[in-house]
Formats: sequence, structure tokens, C-alpha cells
Amino acid sequence: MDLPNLSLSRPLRRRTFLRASGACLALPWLESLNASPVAPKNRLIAICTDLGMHPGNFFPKNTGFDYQDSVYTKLLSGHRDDFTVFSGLSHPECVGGHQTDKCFLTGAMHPRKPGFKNTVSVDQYAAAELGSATRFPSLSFRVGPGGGSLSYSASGVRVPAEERPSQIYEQLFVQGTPAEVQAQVSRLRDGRSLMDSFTERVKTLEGRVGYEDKERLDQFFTAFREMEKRLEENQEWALKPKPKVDVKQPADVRTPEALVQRTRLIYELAHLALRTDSTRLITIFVTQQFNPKVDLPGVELPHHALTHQHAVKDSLAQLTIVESAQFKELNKLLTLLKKSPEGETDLLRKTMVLYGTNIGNANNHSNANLPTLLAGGGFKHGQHLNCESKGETPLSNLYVSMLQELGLSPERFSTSTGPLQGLEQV
Amino acid sequence: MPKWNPQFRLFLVFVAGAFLSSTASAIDPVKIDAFLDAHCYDCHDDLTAEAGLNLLDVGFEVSNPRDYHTWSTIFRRVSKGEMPPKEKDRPEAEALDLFLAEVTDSLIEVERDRIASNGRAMIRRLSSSEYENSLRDLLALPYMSIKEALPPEGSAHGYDKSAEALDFSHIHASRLLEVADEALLKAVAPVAEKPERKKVRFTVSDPENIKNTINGMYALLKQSKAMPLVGMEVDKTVRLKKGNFEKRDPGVATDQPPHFDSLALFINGEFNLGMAIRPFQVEVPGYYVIRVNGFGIRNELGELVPSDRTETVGFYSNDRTLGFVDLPPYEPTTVELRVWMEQGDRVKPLVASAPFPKISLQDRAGPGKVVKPENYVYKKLESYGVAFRWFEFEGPYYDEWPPESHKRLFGDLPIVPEVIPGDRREPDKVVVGDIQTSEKVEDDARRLIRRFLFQSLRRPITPKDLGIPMSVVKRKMKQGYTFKDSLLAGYRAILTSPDFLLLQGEPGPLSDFALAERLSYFLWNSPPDGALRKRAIDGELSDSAVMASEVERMLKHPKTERFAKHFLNKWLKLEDIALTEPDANLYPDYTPLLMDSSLWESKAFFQEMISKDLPARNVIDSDFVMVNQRLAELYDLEGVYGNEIRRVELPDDSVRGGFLTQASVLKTTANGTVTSPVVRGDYVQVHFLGDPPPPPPPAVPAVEPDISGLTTIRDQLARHSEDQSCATCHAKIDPPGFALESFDVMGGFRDRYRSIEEGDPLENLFFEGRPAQTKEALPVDSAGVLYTGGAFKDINGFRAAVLENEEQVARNLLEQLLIYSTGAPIGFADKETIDAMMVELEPSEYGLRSMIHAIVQSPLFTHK
Repeated sequence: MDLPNLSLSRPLRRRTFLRASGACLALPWLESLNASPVAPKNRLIAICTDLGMHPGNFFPKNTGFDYQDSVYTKLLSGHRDDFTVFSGLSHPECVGGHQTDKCFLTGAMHPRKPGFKNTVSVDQYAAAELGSATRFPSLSFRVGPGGGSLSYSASGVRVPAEERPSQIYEQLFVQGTPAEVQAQVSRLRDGRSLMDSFTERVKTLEGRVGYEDKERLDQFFTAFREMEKRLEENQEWALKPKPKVDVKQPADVRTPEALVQRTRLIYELAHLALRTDSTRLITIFVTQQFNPKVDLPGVELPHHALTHQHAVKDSLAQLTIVESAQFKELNKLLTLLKKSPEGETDLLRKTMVLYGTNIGNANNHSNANLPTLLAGGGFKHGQHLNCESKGETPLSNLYVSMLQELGLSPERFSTSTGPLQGLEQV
Repeated sequence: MPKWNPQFRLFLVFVAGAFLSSTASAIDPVKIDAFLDAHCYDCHDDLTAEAGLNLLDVGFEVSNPRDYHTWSTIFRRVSKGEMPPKEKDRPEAEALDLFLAEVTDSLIEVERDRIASNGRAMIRRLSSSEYENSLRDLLALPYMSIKEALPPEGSAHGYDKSAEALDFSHIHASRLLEVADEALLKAVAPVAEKPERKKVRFTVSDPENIKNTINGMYALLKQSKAMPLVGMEVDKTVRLKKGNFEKRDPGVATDQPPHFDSLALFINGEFNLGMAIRPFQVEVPGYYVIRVNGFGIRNELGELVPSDRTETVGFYSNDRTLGFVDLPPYEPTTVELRVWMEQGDRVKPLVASAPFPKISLQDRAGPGKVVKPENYVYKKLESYGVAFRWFEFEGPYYDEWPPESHKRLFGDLPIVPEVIPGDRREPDKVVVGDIQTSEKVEDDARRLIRRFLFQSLRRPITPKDLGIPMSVVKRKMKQGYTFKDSLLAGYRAILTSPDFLLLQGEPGPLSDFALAERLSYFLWNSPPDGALRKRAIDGELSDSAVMASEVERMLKHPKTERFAKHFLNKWLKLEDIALTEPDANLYPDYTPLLMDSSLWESKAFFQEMISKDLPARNVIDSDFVMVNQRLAELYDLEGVYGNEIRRVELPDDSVRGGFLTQASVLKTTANGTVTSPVVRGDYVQVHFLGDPPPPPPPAVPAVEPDISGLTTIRDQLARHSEDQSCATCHAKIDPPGFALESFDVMGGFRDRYRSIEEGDPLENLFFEGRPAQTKEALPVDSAGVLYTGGAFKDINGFRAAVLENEEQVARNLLEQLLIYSTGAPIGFADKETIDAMMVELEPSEYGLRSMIHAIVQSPLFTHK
């Protein structure tokens, strides 16, 4: 007999060890359906650099609101009250050196297992719910060559990331062709005919089923009505002209050494995409694994080699130059957002900028204690939050908090155990 | 305790009752009040409301779902003797029976009313795995994978077979459209003309040969983690120069003649090596043959020594396992794998039977320096491996063109080719541009749509069914789409229509079509095939002899495997097996192949139980196992070679037998490092015995095993149970878990716990080819006493104690299959029917196939 156990009015908290015995993985789609009625119009930029950040330069020595700046947080000190530094975060059961970059936003376990299949990334999870509010449900960018991306669809398929600034610009600001518009209209029609067929079928069924089944059939109705609404919104986007900006189409810089310029171009376009409300969800994968020598004064060794500090002695200064340059670009992005008005506040207040890495310590390819910071959004920032308690906290807990800020209310995302404790809303 | 309160409430009920017509579905408060007063109100009134239950707040109208739920729970706990609690006075037997009868009669009454107006099961849609199988069968694309593209399903009553588990949101709706589109496009012939079958071979000899073809092997060679061989001798002429990451110098491997003619690998993981054989990439999807020539070896510190194992090579694409082949030791052998491959696939070979995924050991040479041969990494390893000589790919294999999938859509209408111009890298490609129709285009469309409807709908079709798909086709054609694209849009409308998505059934007995559908989603997790549909059309399925012969036919079909896999995924939660990975320091001998094998075993065991009609007690104990070489090693059985699963009889004193001690179950119930009797005990009670223990009280910390080797989990639990409030439940939960303590997180037998700190060194255990640091610490105690009585000393004693009550195991299996097949939970009203089935099944000793027959003939199955 499969009756629930005694849980009559007081909900019983299930304990972790029982959770291990049952099927309790998150059901991302169903749980996210209750988006709050008034969309808060919050945005997200998620950035991952794939060579780690030198932990000694990243983590402040003490925690709390009165933490002393580390080498890198000092470079963001103009925004000190607008970001939080985290320690003690990592993805559980997600070990595999550089191969974990694909799990950075998904938290999928065991990336090294032969035949590994990924799961949905946090941006795509949100896009499924919020996407149709903007022209592009989400955008995925990359700084660096290759085929990598941070975004993975619900079926774990990589969403290709665009590396060329010129193409990004064209997508965002250059008008579409009539054929593209036509395809969108056709999709709406198809969706409608599906709904018609359901309407008809349900009508014939309704007289012959009980009230319980009627309720089930209603669920189908609602789903198709909702889908139609979204298709209509998409069609409107296809018909609407794209926004005009007073910035020219940028030329692509693709020389491997130009990490700083490439990063800056992508960050600037990300800012433009948000400012024009073309999208509210952006991922940026900064990939340097191919080991270029970064073109900065004082840097002589290639980037990837530098991150292996145990093998390359006396080169911490060089690594610090490279990573500092990356933090300076981040600082510029935060400043751009801060200076852009948004309603009664500024765009940074409405935009979460996640800056992190899938490598905890590049020296030994560790995937523990991932250097992570979150700027912007409606959080009470300005602290160094140590999330470690009885082991590290799933990074996905931070993602749950971020999804909540986006107006979704998932109970879980990936391997999360709840929202991140200690990170409060303002 | 003031007594006037409940009585005053009773009085109110009387007053109300006087004005309302009394219903049979209400509990009569008068009949049970004395019982509640004597045994319940003390703890469950508005003042104490223990466990959140305030009986004064519970209505007697059990037709109210909330009250129904409450009374069911009360009934269950009281009837099992869990309430009133042990320390209180026991109710008199007669009073207890009267109380239970009054409650259960009302509950049954409510259920019968509900079943009469709604049926036992609610109307539901196909689950994602049923939808996948339906499209596979319908479109003749047996390897198509679409389940992952649909939102993951929920679970209700343990399965994804009921309406409560199968919600439907706008995300499902739009995903469904996309998935149907993709599936239909895959069914269209990928190119216009029959593709030419090609054969290419890649030889693993000479560094130059593999440098630009199999980058991963070349990298392993340079790192001296692969062993080059000339015949059966180690190649001594290979020279390695280390790369310099700082100078972006990749390093080099050179070889003087005689060149090596094979390269031995020792790893089952890829890491970032890039093991794909680059030049071969699938252009046209289809069946391909992957051939490999090579042999197994045993490397002991750089010397080849005899091996008595068969090695297993795994082939992987970018996102899935393609398959496995076996190679014997020291005998160059060609073996092949025939496998469906998708466009863009490449093939990565790995030594699946190798015991570790990577080799961390380095050659000690500085950047840019020549590596000294005495420091070659392979000379420091003790491991099995595979020497690869060559790989060959041949395909695609097509007997006919266009393929069957295409014909399902377009019949025999000719293809209109269209040239897609290539570029510098790719030649022109000729694809299916359109389909050549007769002069009567609309007639062609109507004919094809009707045919597709007949194949896809699981009921008779009517002219009305053509309405929507035909209007879609006509609209598309008017908009200027090709005939091909218009027809595909019409098909998509069918694949996303309620008739395709929803299972049929109106309250009362199922029609022959609804019965056929329920039967095939039960035994195949797939739609009815032509033969079964024919039975439905002829109206023969309500004949029990025909039904029985159909069941026999269906259970012999390979599609039963879909049933076995899906049912076990849910019943035994085997789909969760990979949620944790055993810690490499404690379990360096764990491999992904072991986990895969354990799932194959369970599936094969279930199928064996069906085909031999084995008694349900085989769930707990059997005199055979279904194993391959890797599992036989784990189970300590000799003489089993190769990766194929086969039946092996067990010696009398074996600790194995039944699902209970299969590696899949033992792994699923453990986490990566430790086992907990609480978790495993709960699992056995729930999944094997159908007798779930009550949930833990809130805010009591879990007992976490300690891996330092200083205390055992049993000592910790013994302390936990000193607390009287914990002891009662743990007496029920823990004992099955104690018996299973003899098995580690991989399913291996142990008499001492492994540890990474305290203990004695474990011999013959290797970590990445070097002696492991893992220790053996405190002894395992697997004795216990069942809460129903019955002491046991070890796992086999436990088996005997459980099988004292064989009927309980059988009844649970029967109920699980009933939930799975009908999509409705077991209710109070079903008890009578199930009791009768148990009697009927006794002569077969509750054989699994007999059970399936009994289920499909029972009114629970033949009625909605």
C-alpha cells in the first residue's frame, strides 16, 4: 500500500540521509512555473574564466562586512558595496580539472564519466520562463577560440556561444529579413492549430469523464493557452524594429594575445544588450586554455602555464598582471552598468553580475573552493561570505538565490540544497 | 484532560446529522468514539496534537480528500499496531476490530464512489519515455533519443505512470512541438541517393601515424603512459622529448625502425586527452561497423606477463556510449561492433576494463628535456590493458533506399533531389528537396495522412480525424511551402494531438483499443504493434484466452527489455545509481564499466524471472546470478570471461542471490564513501517488503558514518538508539540494513570496513596502477533481529528470516506491478481483488509471468 506517512498538518522536514535513498532530484521545469506576477525585470550576466583565479590574490583574509581587500577585490573597491565575495562554494561530485567548465552553470555531476551528458544551465533554465519578455530569451558569448559555451539547453545540449563582436552587434541591432519574420508568424499558426485540436478533442471527451479527469484536461488547455501567449509575444518581437544605438559595428579582434581587448569588446556589447533590453540573460565564457601569451607589459610566459604556479616558479607577479587586467575590465563593466539609469535606480542594481571560475586552484586542477563573486542585483552586498559549514556549500545554492532574484521560485536547482544562507535581499 | 471537549463535538455532529441525509461514506462517530476516547485523544487533541494530528479537527466525512487522507493514515498505523504506541495500553482485540472495520468500510465506500464516476486511474498523457518509444516505433528509428529534450517527469506512487506524475505546462507544449519536428526530420532520408558504403582504417603504428589522427593516443605515448609494442615485445627504440608549456612547445615522440605496431593503453577515462579518431566523422546517419584489432595484456612494471582475463574495449561518441567489444590476452584479434551512429559522431576508444581512469604519475623530466627510458611511466605500473593495432570504420549500411523511416512518411513517392552547394572544405551535398506527387496533390496528401493516422493513433480512425492535419497541410501549401514540408507539418499536428498524447479510457471497462494500449505500455513501455492492434480491431482482446496468448507473444519480444529497464529504474530507483561516484581513495577498484554491468545484470535478472516464471522470492534469494566477467570478479565467481551477461549458478554458500545483493541495488543505496544501515534498511522495507517505516521526526540530526576507521556505524546507531524515542522506529528500519553491511558501496563483499586512516594495508589493491594506500579497519557485524521477530547472523540468515514470510515479498511485487501497469495507487477498495489474486497465484509460487497474466486479466487492469 502506498500511502503517505503521518504528515497530517505539520510538514515534516525530510532528512538528508533519507534523501539519499529516494528520487529527489530537482524537477526544474515544474517547480519554476510559479513565476511571481510582477516580473522584477532583473538581469543576469554570468561570467566564467576557465583558468581559475589565483586563490591567494582573490580571497580576502578575513570574512564579514569589514573584510580587508585582497589584491583583486581592491581593483573593484569603487563598487565595494555592490558586490559580495564568496568562499567555500563548489559543485558537489563535479571533479575533472578543466573539463568542469561545461558544468559551471549547470552543476551536472561526473563530467569525466565516458558518455557524460550535461544538464540545463541556470541562464537557460531562467530563459524558458522569462525569455519572451525580450527579443532574445538569452545570449551566450565567448571570449576566446574553440566551441565552448556556458549555456546548456534543458536536454543538456550546448547552446553555441558567439565569439565575434561584429556578429553579436548584427544580431542585436541590424534589422532581420522578411523571411525570418515569416518563419516566426508560421510558428504561431502551428501552435494555434495544436490548441484547436486539443479544444475539439477535449470537448468530445468532457461529457464522458469524471470531474478529476476534467481538471487534468484543463491543465492541457492552460498549457497551450500559455504557449500561444508566448508565441504571440515572439511574433511581436519579430515585427518590431530592432533598437538603434549610437555605437558603430565593432571590428573583430581575434589575435590570441589580445585578451584584454577581446574581453572589453564583449563586456561592452553585453552592457549594450542589457541597456536596450534586448535580453536579460547573458553568459560569457572566457577561455584561455589554449595557452596564449597575453600581450601585457611584464608578461613573458603564456597564460595557462602561468596558472600552474607550482611548476613555474617566481612568476606570480606575471600571473597577477594578467588576472588584474581581467579584474580591471570587470570593474569597467560594473561602472558602465552603474552609470546607466534604469527606472528610478541604476542598471547595476537590476543586474546580477556573477564572476567566477570552474577551477578552484589551477595549481593542481582542484575544483574545490571556487573563487566566486556576485555584484549587483537587489542583495545586501559588501561582505566576504564564508559559506563553508560541514563541508562546502553547493554553488547551485547561489544559483537558487539568483533565480529568486530573477523572479522565479525554484525550490532547487541542480545539486542545490536551498537558497544561499547569509546572502540577504536588501 | 478535560473530556467534555470531544463529546461536545460529538453532540454537534449529531445535531448536524439530523438535518443532513446520512451518507454511507461517513464514519459513524458514535461507533468509534469510545475507542478514540480510550486510546487516541490523550495525545491527539487540540492541546497536544502530537505529530500534528488533532483529532478534534478531523471531519468524519471521508469523501473530503483531506479527511480521507487522514483516516487512511490513521487506519494504516493502527492496523499495523504502530498506534497506539507500544508504551501505552493495547486496545482489546474486539474493540480494535470494530474500530478498524468502521474506518475501512467508509474508506472503501468513498473509493468505490470515486471509481464509479472517475475510474481508478485518472486520464493521463504519455510519459517522456513512452513518447520516445512511440516515436521510435512509429517512425522506424529505434535508436532515436528524444526523452532528454523533454522536461523530466515527476513521480507519484513511485512511478511516472499516473496523472499526478505527468503534469503538463506551456514548456511541455512548446518542447513537444520542437521534439516532434526534430523526430520527423530525422525520419526523412538524409540524402537523396543511397549513400555509398565506405571503409577506412587507421593503423596504430609509428608516432607519425597517430600524431594527427588519434591525438589522445599520441599524447599518452609522449607522456610514456601508453606502452608501444613490436609484436609481443616492448618497443625499445621510442624516444620521447618533453614539451614545454611555457614556450608552447608540444614535445615529440620518435621511433626508429622497427616501428611499433601496437600501442597498449591502461585507462578507462578520457580526461582532456581528445581520444577521438579525428579523421572519421559520420556524414550520413545509419548503421556502421566499428572494427578493432588488438589484444589484452598484463603489464607488471614494464614487463609483459601472462593474463587470464578478457579485456573489454568501450567505444564512445561525444555524448553517449556506443558499445563494447572483448579482446583476448596476447592474441591479436579482430572484433567488431555494429552500431547506429548519428551525423557528426566521432568514435573514442577506451579500455573499459582497465581499473582506473587516468594516470597521475609523471616521468620526472624537465620541460623540453629528453625523458630517460628508466623513468617511463608505464614501467612503474601494474595493470591490465589493451594493445591497439588498428581501427576500421565501415558504413553506412542500408539495405534499401530511401530507408524505412522515410517510407513511413512518404510511401513510394519519388524524391526530388536538391543540391546544397559545398565550400572549400565540403563537397556538394544532394538532399531531399521535395517529394514528387501525382497530379492530384491533395489526394496524395490525404492518402498519406490517413495512413499515418492509422499507424499512430491507437484507436479506430474516423474521417473527422483528418480535419486538423489536412487543414495544416493545405495552409502550408498555400503559403508556398513544399509538399514535403507541408506534409511534415500535418504529421507534427498528429504527433502533438490529444489522441496521440493522451491514453484512452472512460470510467468502466476499457474498450479493446484502450486495453491494447494499456497492455503494450505495460509490457513494452511502447505503443501496440500491428498484431496487437489487429486483435483490438477484431474485438478479441476481451477474450481471456486471446489476451493470454498476446501476453505470451509480447513477453517473448525484445521490447520487453524496455519494460524491465523502466520498471527497475522506478521500482528499485536504479535510475539514481550514478548520483554519487565512489571515492577514488577508498574504492580505487570501482569503474564505470562495473556500474553499467550491474544495471545489465538487474535487467537480465528481471527478464529471466519473467521468461522462467520464477517465484517472487527470487527478489530476495536466487540460486543463480546474471553476470559478466567484471561482475563475476566482484562476486568472486570463477570461469566467467567477457563482457556478455550470462546465467551462472551459485555455489550453495554464496552470499549472492536475488535483487537484494545485486551490485546495482547496493550501489544505489550507498553514497560515494559509506553505507548506512538506516538508508538501506529503509530501502528494503519500502521497495522489497512494501512496509515503509514512519518518517524521521523533524530536527533530529542524521547519523553519518565515520570513515576514519575508529568507530563503526553500528556503534553510532547503538548510541542513537539508547534514546527511547529513536529506538522504536530504528528497531524496524535498521535490521535489513545491518544484514547488508556485509556489502560495500560498489556491492563488493566485505568483512572489514575500508578506511583511509586507520587499519591494515589491503593487498592486491591498486590506485592508478600503484599499490593503494587504502586500509582495512574494523570488522563488519551483520547480525540483527527483524522487528517481526526472527534473528539472523548474516545476510543468508536474513534471507531465510525474510522468506519465512514469502507472501509479503510476493504481494509487494504484485502491488508494484499493479501501480505501474494501471497508473493508480493501491486503495482500500482493491484489497479484496488483490487477496483473490494472491490465492490464485499461490500454486505458481507467485511466479512473475503468472503474476503478469493475473494482472492483465484482473478487473483492476481491465477497467479504467
